[in-house]
Amino acid sequence: MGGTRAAIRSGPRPRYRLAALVIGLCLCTVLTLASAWAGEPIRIGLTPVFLDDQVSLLQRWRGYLEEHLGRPVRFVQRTTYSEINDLLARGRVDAAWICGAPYLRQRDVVDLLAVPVFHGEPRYRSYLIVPADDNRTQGWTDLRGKVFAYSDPDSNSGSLYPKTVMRQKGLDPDRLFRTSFFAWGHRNVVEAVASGLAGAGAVDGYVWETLRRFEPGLTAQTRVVERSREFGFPPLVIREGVAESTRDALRRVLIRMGDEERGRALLDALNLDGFTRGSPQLYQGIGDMIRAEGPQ
Amino acid sequence: MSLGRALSSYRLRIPLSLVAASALTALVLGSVVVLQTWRNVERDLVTTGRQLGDALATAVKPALRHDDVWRAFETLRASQGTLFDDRTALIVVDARYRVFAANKPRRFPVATPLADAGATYAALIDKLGAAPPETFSAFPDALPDRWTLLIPIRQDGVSMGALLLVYPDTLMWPRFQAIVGDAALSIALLMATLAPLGWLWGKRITQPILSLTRSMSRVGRDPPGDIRAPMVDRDDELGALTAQFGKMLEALKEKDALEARMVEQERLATVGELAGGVAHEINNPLYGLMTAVDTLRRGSADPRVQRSADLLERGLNQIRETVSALLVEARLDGHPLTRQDVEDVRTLATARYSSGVLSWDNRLQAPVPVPATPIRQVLLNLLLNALEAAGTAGNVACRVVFDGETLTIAVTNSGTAITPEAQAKIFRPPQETGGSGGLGLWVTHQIIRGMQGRIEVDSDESSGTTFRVELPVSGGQYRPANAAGSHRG
Repeated sequence: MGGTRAAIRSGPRPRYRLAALVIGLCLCTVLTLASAWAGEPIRIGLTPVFLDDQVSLLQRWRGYLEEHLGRPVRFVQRTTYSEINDLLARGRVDAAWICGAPYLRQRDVVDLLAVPVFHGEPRYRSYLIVPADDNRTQGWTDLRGKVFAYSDPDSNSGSLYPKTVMRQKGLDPDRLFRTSFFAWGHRNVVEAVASGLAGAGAVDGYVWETLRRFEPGLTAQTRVVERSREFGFPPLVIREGVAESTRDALRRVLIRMGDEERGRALLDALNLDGFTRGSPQLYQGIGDMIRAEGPQ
Repeated sequence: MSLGRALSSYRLRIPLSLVAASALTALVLGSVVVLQTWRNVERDLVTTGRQLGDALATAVKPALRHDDVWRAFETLRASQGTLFDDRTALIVVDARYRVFAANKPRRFPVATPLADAGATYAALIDKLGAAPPETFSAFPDALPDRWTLLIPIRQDGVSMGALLLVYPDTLMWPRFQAIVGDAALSIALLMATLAPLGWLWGKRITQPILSLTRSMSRVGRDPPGDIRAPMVDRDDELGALTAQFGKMLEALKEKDALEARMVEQERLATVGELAGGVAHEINNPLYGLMTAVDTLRRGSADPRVQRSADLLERGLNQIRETVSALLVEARLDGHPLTRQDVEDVRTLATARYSSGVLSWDNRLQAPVPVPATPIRQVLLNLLLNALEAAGTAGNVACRVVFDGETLTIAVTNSGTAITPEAQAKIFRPPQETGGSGGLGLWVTHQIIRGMQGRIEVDSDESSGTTFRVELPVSGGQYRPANAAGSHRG
């Protein structure tokens, strides 16, 4: 560019003007190509619906997505579901992996992008767990006077479902326990129950099974008392307003992860079979519970 | 030597005592270090615990405010470090001492009164009062074998609760052991240096004591003259002791010499008594003989009779004085020694031994102020001995000189030399020499010694045997005694 300015200052001379034009064209091409690769990053919000503390897995997954999308990908991680919901609502993330309940609550701003497939189905369960040394607790009615660990106020498996089932059984979640607390993550619920901090807890069945596979020592300190009926697996959603091309590209990359070696390795690390298109009908059961609970 | 006896000797006791003293010093030093270290570690642990507690209380405060049990638990769980390991209990209680969260949730369940954790905790809470104290408190023995630190959690001047840090006493052990281990190593090194030094020093101290003991143990067994006081050139008590021992040895030597002299004097007295008896027996007829000679002289004018009478008188006088001289203590007659006295001795001696050659050198002119009788006897004894030793073919030389201070008598004979062994005993009493010397030389020796003189013998094959007598003569010392006053018998 200095060369160009120098040419202007010293007056237009045909030979320099041609050279300047060539250099300018080249620069433009390079910059366009670079911006096409760099582009605007796709920002994907992550919540503890899976084991989001596996940093190296996340790096590899991000690299995989960038390579297949041809543009940068940024993972945005927050501790609570509501923070990611908020980011989605304000357009600060383009997509997010959230729980079924928040998805339903934000259906006006987000669309279903893809649903993980676990044990062959895009579904999962909520587990009621107690410490392994507690061999007396057989169901919800045995939880009186215990300390209960929920995972997240916006979680289906870790909050909505257990509260619903307790009400159905005529138990008052606010009075049943000595005290209860949110552990802000399914893994934390498992740890709280395993350590004895909580006498019982509600946990995402997928997370518990994944922990059982990768950290059997931790889950061995807990005992599953009850497995819930199946619900739609926490989905990946995309904000309305994200370009159709981006939406399609992202969905295609996710769904095709199982088609090649590196994708399969990533899916294995995530303890998933793959991703599927999914449909809102999957979340019918959660929707029923939200309606039963009434407006928040 | 048994161990007990070995230990009763200073040879081992002092070095061992010094080694023991350094060991004791090390022990005391070590104990002080241990005690001080224990206190320091205890104090350090409280300080560190307070710092940790302050940080934890700050971190836990929002969780307490937001009723977020998990956050509080995570914070407490994450703070288990190397110093405050998993034996340390971290308990967050609310303002009514209910457990909000603890790093050991099974021991301190959430939302239960802390007092339920056991009677000791109930007692601790009673001690603390209704609400947690407003300032940091440390309780060394509120709980058995445990330290309890209490860090208040306050917000805007209101007590929200407290953080309790409960750790066992044994938490200090690793640090304590590490520090004490280092100290022990240093002290051991110090001991390794000091103990040999102490041993060597002890040896140095005991060495003179031991040689002194060895010397002292010879006292009474060996003659004092054979014992040598050890050389201890020191300006301390040991030096003084050794010097004193040297003096004691000298005193012993003197005492022995004195005893020897006393024994001699006693013998002399015995001999003197005997001699006195003999003298008495001789003197009685002698006075008759002398009266007879006197009568003989007065009754004849014949010069030959006169000369014979003179000779007889001198001879009889000689006998009288010789007899008197046997009484060593009694100086019978004390006329000064004259030239004629010496010549008389020559006459008496040569009358008996006429053979051989006698070289006579009498240089006396004026009378010498010493008693004549003992000197005549000494000279006669020496001369008779020499003539006998020289034999018929030998030579005898006699020389008597007075230089104004000393009377010197030297009698030499060319006979067989006296062996050094015999020389050493020559002046001893006859019963000690086994009869080799004879009474004459012993008496001579006693006379000379009685007169503060010296007698010595010098003998070898080439120059023969010489007896030399030296008598100190001072004008005032000798006064002719009254013959009657000293006469015994």
